[in-house]
Amino acid sequence: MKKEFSPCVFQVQRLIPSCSLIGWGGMILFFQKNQLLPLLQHPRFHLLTLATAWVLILLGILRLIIPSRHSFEDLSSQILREILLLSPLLFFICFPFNQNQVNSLVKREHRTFTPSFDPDRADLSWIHSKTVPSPNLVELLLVCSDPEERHKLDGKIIALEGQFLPSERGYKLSRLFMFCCVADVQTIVIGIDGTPPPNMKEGDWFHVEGKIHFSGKKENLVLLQKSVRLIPPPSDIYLYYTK
Amino acid sequence: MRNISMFFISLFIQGLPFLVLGSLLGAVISTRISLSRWLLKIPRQSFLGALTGALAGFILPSCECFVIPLVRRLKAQGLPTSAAVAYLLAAPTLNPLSLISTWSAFSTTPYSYAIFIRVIGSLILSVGIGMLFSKMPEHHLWKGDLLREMNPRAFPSPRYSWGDTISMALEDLRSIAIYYIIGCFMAALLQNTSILPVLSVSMPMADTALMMVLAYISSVCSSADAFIASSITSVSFAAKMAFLWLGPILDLKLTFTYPLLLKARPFLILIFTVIVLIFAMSWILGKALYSI
Repeated sequence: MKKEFSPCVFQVQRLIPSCSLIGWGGMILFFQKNQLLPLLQHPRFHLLTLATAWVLILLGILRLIIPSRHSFEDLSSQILREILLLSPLLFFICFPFNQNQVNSLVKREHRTFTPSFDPDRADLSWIHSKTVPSPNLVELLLVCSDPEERHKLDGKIIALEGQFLPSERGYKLSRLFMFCCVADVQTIVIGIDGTPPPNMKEGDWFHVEGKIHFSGKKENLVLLQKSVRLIPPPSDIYLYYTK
Repeated sequence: MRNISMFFISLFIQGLPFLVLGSLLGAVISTRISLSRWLLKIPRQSFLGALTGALAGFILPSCECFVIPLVRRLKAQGLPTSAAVAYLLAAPTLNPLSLISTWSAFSTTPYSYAIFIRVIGSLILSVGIGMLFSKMPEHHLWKGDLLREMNPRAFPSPRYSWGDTISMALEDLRSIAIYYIIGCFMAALLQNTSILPVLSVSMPMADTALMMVLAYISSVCSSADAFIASSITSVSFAAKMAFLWLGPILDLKLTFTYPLLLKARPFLILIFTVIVLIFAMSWILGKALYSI
């Protein structure tokens, strides 16, 4: 027998399916407005994600306006389903995150980037620079992964920027490296042989100049510190494999 | 918990555009485009049907996030089983975005031929499994509600308005999003642990097994996975290819979306067949490269 609904329940049931769509779209626009979207995903996807947010809001409004031929399910199961669909938004409300949360990922040393040599990116023209060069850290590591290329770099003075990590010997420079989104972020860690400024705390950004040296079996890149200073965080905290 | 929340939401919004696009495309194909005529012309013979379905991945592109609602609709319109299964398994790998990223990631390495190995492997998997599944009775294979919807003559109908198209798209989106959300949450939980890095690589083919576990757990979109595979140096090329073959077909988030299409037994057969075939293909590739 067909179940009869009161007009009030009927209206609520029409409203519910739009909640998740408008909620998802609104959440993405909130991330964009509060500069959280660049923390969550590669810049290549921003436009697509923002366009999707507007499409979701439009679809949610259309769903409200357009009468549906689908038979409504039970109100309680519909509400449960909607709560599950809105769980990303509920998670953000219960466990919000910000740039500090992302910064804390530099401590995850178990997810360290292991580079493989890429001859196309082995551009070492910067080593002849008259001023102290600031090579791209990813490209530097890609070059350093090749034993033949390492000797060209040994002893060169370079400048790097990154986040401070304490270490038993010297300290470490750490950067977050993203392929696609924050869930696949890995850390790039380089040892610095020297003394950090006394007021430097874990996660603080610093600029260091030093000499390239390879330790262990001449495999691990270490920077022999010449000078170091604190700097403000950059506008984009990530390094990317591809821009 | 805040890390899990951040990973969960980032994975969710990363796949959301593809879910929306897939649901809209699936609904438009179902209600507005007369594919039925063409679908009924696709060969019913298992090999030709599977090959046609797999090659359709090049011209009807979709990533793994939106292939399931699309196949659901195409199947309801009368797509033969061999072609539907082959398309389901091939399209996420053979779509142009995935191929471009594979080429970009490997073109400057000694493995510039990776794109061809990936395409060939994907075709072998999709055609082989498509042929295998075409031998099974449809009512043992597909979900009951999908079978009830199956009526090639009913689509497209002049009775379908644009309102119906949008309603259908939203229903599909809401159905698949539930599974996708569960998958994203599981993946976010695992990404926040140190289980993966402590897995040791000590036995022959262990790197292949490790990369397959990584592909399953990380649930990375097929449009970006090639960069991850190419960046991991401590494993063989054959293990990297196992990662690239498996990820688009079977990962944590897809585990929760396949049940929208397939019944439990064929789903388990699919998992078993895919894992065994990829492991064997990776072993053969490793031997072939070693002998060159």
